[in-house]
Amino acid sequence: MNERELKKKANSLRHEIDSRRKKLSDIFGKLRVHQSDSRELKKKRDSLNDEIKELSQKIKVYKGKRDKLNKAVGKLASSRRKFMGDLKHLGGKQSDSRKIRTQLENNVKNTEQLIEGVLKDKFSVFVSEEISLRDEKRLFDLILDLSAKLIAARDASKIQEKIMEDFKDSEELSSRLGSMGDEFSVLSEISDEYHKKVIETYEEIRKKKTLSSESHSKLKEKYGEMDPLRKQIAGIKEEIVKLQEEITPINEELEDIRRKREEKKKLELAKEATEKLKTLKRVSLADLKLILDHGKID
Amino acid sequence: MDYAEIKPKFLKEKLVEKHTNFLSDYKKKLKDIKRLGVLEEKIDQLAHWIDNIEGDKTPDLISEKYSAEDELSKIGDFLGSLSHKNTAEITQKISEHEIALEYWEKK
Repeated sequence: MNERELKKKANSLRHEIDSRRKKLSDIFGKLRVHQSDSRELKKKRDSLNDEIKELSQKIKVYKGKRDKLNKAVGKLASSRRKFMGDLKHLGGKQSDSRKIRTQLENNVKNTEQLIEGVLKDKFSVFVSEEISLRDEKRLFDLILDLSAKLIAARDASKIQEKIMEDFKDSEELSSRLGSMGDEFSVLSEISDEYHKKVIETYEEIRKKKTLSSESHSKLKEKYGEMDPLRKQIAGIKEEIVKLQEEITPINEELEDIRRKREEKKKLELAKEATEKLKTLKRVSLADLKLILDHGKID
Repeated sequence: MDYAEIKPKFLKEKLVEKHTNFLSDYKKKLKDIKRLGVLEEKIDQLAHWIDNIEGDKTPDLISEKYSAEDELSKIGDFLGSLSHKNTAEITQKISEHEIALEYWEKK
């Protein structure tokens, strides 16, 4: 190819390269928009995920508190059942004790002190006074009978004491049951509140997960949109490289032509300067340089 | 003592002890009543001798009479109003206590 053809070819290739660079610029512009959108979407998704994480932690705390309270409520309920059982049992015992007490009181007929007083007097007569054998026999039986009644009276007293203790226990149990009931209600209410918080937080998490999923889907869409652009960029870059590879030898060839032409021109100028030096005996500094570089001085 | 702990055996032992003491007491009284009669007789005799016998035997008789009177006085203090007139009554008591003692020992 001659210089003109080479130049034409080079220009055509350069135009192609420029055209592709412009296309690249357009695509990069679009890609930047997509990248900016992606960054926003990613930021939104990550922020939502962070919030979900925080909410999940909150749920753990709420659940922990709720479960702890439920455990306490369970224990309390179990204790309450036990207390109620005890109270029922005490009620039964009191009834039994009352029956026994009544029976014993009917048998004894007298109080413990009264029996003991009589017994003491009779015993004194029995062991120290001079009485008839008949009276001794009568007192013998009486003392033994009174002694048995004294035991019965003492048993009755013990049962009475036990009844009083049971009544006291029963009152204490009733009071404790009352306070347990209050405690039970309070703990249950707090536990319910935590349970509600857990449900609410789950709902909040669900909403945020939906939003996060939406952002993630959009992000994927963006990536989907960016991929072909990146492929286009890669393809165009490859084309540019090929065009540059094609243009480089042409440019070199043109440069070689230009350099040769320049050299020829300098030689001609150097020749003219030499002639001028011969004729005029003096030349300009530029001409002298030309003569020194390319010309001949005879 | 705890009156609720009284048992038949304990009561019997107490009665045996009571009757044994009464018997001992009455038997001593009965013996002393008999001794009382002897001493009264002895004192009468000694008084008679002291009044009627002369010589150096008198101090011994007087001393013996004093001794008998002293013993009589002690027995009198112990017996109180009892005398040989009560012998039958005390004998009766002893009999009753012996019957009772036998009863409670065997029961």
